[in-house]
Amino acid sequence: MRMRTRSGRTAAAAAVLPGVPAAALLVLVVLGALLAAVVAAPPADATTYRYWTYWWGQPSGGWSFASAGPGSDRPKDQSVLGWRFAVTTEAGGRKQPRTSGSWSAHCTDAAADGMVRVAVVVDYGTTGDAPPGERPPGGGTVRVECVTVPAGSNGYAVLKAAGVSVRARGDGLVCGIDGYPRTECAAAVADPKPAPTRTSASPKPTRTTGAGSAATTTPTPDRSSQAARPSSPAASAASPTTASASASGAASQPVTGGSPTSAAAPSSAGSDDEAPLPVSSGAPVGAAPQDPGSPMGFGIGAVLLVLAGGAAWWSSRRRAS
Amino acid sequence: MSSVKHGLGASAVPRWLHPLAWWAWALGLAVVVSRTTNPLLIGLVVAVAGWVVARRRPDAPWARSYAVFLKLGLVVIAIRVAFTVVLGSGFGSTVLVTLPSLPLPGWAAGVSLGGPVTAEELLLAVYQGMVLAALLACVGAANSLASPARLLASVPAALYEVGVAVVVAMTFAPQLVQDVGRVRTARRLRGRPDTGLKALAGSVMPVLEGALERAVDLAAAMDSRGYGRVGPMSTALRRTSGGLLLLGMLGICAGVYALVDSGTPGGIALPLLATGVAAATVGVLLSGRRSIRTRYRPDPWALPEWIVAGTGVLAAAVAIAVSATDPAALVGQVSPPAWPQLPLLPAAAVLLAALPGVVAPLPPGMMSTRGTAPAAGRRAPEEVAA
Repeated sequence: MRMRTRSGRTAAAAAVLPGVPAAALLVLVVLGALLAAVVAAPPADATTYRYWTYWWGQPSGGWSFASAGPGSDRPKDQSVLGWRFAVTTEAGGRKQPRTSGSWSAHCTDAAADGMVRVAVVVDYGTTGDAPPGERPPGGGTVRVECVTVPAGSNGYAVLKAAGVSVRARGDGLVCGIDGYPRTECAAAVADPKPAPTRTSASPKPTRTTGAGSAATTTPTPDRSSQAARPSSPAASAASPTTASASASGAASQPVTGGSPTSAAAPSSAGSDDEAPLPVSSGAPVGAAPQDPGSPMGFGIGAVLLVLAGGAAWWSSRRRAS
Repeated sequence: MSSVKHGLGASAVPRWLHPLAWWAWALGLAVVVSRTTNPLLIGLVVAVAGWVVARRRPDAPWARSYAVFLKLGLVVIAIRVAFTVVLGSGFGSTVLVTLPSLPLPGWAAGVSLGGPVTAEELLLAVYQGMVLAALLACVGAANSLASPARLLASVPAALYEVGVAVVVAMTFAPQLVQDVGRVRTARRLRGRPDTGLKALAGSVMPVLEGALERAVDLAAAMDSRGYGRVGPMSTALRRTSGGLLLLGMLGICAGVYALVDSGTPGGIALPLLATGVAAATVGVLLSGRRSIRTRYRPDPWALPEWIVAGTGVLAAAVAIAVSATDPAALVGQVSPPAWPQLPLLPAAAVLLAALPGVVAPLPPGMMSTRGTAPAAGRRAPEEVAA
């Protein structure tokens, strides 16, 4: 008898339970998924980022990767602060600014009491490292500014004194210099390969003509450009444009497959144009001005906010009265 | 019968909305806040939550916590700004004032007292304080709208002991608020000061004691009503369900860790998380079978619940999608300072989350805001509808 009542109760409970807990569980699962999505916000696989790397110049002319951010950095007299925009993996292969890291190579300022003389070097990077739809400003030069700032100034103050405009994220990470890149901030590059494939867009047409109909006429300019290119820049490896063109050309056409550079090029595509660049001063012509946002857009948003807040305030007053 | 049983809006029969629906809505808004530092969007979330609370909070004492959470949020912002001014972060280059700086010993290398205060770091402090304040406001909104006792009733049976502890803890905060008011009134009646430091010292003990006492009372009341009693269950089943629960929790922990940690191979995280959730769900369902209690008038999950929870989840989903595709739109730009713009899509989703202020049924005992028909007092909807 007791058993029967108990089983009857559990049956009743089971009849009641499916309705509510099913919905409740659903909500819990959805919330759990949301929380997981929140936690998993940064792309999990991406170990490669496209951002402004920070360097300290050495008197010997070389560079060392800065171990402190510009906020806590207090440059000494005759120091060089280098910035290089690059696609950079954590595992090495960091690309340095493509000019000398020695202060005396750039600046001749006289020493002043209580002041430090600092050189700022800004290297906008290669087209291969540029975000989609943008080109590095500067026209193939490295911007160098010589400034004299009060001793104890930090890296941001030095950049400001040098007239370099900086866009930074809340945690102090420098996102953009001289308006480059326009909006992104340390974008994750899931696969480092997109950079070379983007540059291969331009040589692609020549490859298709080479691989296509007129096999006797086109190989000649194709091969000549390939032969000429590696020797023209001072870099040891082929530039990524020719490298990817020849690599893809090699797959379709055995004629171009003979050169050893085509096999070696894809792996060393990153270290291509690391040759020193000419130096320029002043904001680059290609630099987009910083967008301060329109006060109009802010005003519209603020009005909407005030309306919503006012509605809430009015409703609660009405409740209270 | 003039009104629909599970209808929408103020004309429907007054009833308690499912508490999980309010929590889903509020947590959805909290997710939006956690994804942005745009002050306009954050302010909009707080305003929308405040509007819904003003229109749909019951007259119960625990429902007055929203204003308290808002004030707490202002304190958080003030503390955040004060810390920035005193400690400084070295961020930004537009110096507003330079405070006298205190030299610190060498071992405190990263810390500086005083020094220049920049516009950028102040703005950043305000924005980040606003995020915390808005998160508090979202929790406050859920606290005001969802009845804690009803929330306990919808907890799955397997999590019952945990649920009781959580509910006792959650009732502590709103009752604290209530007790502060009570003690202050008592002090005023006795002619003692009810503001200032001295009043604070005099009322801390009675307030804490009162809130704790009520929480313990609630626990005792629930115990006397048979909460937490377990029915017979075979050892094998108990071990299976316990093992599944443990396995599920471990799987969820490991899965979330794998998602966060970029060094873990990407393919592992999601299957691990899915397995964990599945195991935990089965465990919860299995051990739920040992619960012998029935539910007295369970809260239904009807159309209003779907809408309320849905608007919150939708706002969160939109914010996550936008932060993945166009992260710059959700960032309040501080260096260089820029006029924040209202991102259209997330703002629209947040405005849509104001819908519960219209479609949710009025809670029992609350006078209709339009003043057309007085709500049906403390009587349950079933009695009214009959």
